Amino acid sequence: MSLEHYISTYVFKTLYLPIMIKVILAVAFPLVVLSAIPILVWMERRGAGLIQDRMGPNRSNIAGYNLLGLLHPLNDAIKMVMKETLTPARAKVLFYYLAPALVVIPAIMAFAVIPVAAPVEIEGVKIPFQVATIDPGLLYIFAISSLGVYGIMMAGWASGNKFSMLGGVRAASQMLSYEVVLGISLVSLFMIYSDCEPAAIVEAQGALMFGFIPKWGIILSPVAFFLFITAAFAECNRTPFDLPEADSEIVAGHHLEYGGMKFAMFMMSEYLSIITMSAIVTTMFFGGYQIPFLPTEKLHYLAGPFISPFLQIGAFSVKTLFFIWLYIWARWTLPRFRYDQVMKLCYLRLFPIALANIFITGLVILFFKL
Amino acid sequence: MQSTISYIPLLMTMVFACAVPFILIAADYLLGPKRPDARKQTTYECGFTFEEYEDTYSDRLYVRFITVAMLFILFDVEAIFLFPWAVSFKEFGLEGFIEMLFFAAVLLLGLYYAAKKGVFEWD
Repeated sequence: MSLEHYISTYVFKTLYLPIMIKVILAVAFPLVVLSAIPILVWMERRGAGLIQDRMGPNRSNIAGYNLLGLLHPLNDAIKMVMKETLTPARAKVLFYYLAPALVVIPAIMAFAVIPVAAPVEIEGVKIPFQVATIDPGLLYIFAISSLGVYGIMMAGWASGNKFSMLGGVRAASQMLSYEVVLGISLVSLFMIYSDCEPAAIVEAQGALMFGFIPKWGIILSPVAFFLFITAAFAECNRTPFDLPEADSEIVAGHHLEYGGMKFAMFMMSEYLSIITMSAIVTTMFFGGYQIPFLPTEKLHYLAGPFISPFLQIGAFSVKTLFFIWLYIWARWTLPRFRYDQVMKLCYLRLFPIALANIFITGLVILFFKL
Repeated sequence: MQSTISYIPLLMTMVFACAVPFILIAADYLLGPKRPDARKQTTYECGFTFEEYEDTYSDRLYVRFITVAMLFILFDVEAIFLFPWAVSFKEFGLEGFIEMLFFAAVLLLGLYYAAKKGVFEWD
């Protein structure tokens, strides 16, 4: 049987090809997200340079060309790998090495259920642009991303340093508290769309309201957006909630005793969770991969099944990059809170507002029979 | 059955995700120099030596963190109940709405109690 004949058989098309596509997606998604980290590091430095009138990345170069500073992340990676491997004498060695891994693994996995383009069908083969379409959807993201707390607690405890211990506990309690708000703020959207599967929510956001306003989450539930973005900043330990790393109180917190690549892994997980959170904001509130006023069927009709996924991936990337930029913008603009203010803000302000938002949304849905 | 199959790609992602830190730590270990010495390996703290500060860091913790952990359990369990409720909210209608209102009210009472007890007054 020739290869061409084999490719067109029913078994190949319906059984082997979908499995191959899934395997490729399951590896390609994490690879793309991981390779976006150097870009984020570069954006952070350029952002600092632009906003705070600093020098920015201008030193690393190859034969005089510095490529706008894009070589700095590469330089960083080489430097981190070549650093001395040092295990503190008081560290509990197994857990000390396990902790950065436990922080990075959930951060890589969390992105898997986010759709980056609508599924297309080419010659009877359906190609999804989402690693896994599962019913729990966003519940999976919250479940997986909260596992990162174990790694942080473990890092703080296994380092054998009281600053690390305090930093680990502080980071854990902040992340746990804001996780509640993070979850509850999205509940109003689940009520509106009657689903918590990201692909279904994105499809629902392609429709128009009154004929000209897209049914995006930010328009239907604006309060949820502000709650979510605040909680997401705290969840990623970013300014103005970057309390786990306070030089004046607990030095570098849970990653104080880590160096080289092990330290870089904590930074990686921070950037990975920024990417994931920005992707969730895009998916839930800004129509995901939808191009405004151009729903999926219309786009497939206009651009065909080969080009339209690329257009949608482009739209998704632009929106996600904007929210990543928002993180960087906030970091170089805002001062930080005090720790007690952070906890108070979570439990006494954001949490009641999030609950009230749910019940007001519920009342509106019941009253207008939406 | 279909729903079980749809989790398999996540398993593949997990295998890939587990390989990444392993490769990174291995590369770090193999490429970096290793010249350990006792002074270099001391803890990054001011002035304490290894002997006089043995293992006291791990058994004392500020009690507020424990109360935060308890509050987290309280509210995260509520969040988990809210998720499926929200997805099928339109089927439940007014009845489901009022039931969840009571559930949330009981929990908010707990939050009010905690706030009055001064759990959030850090000093």
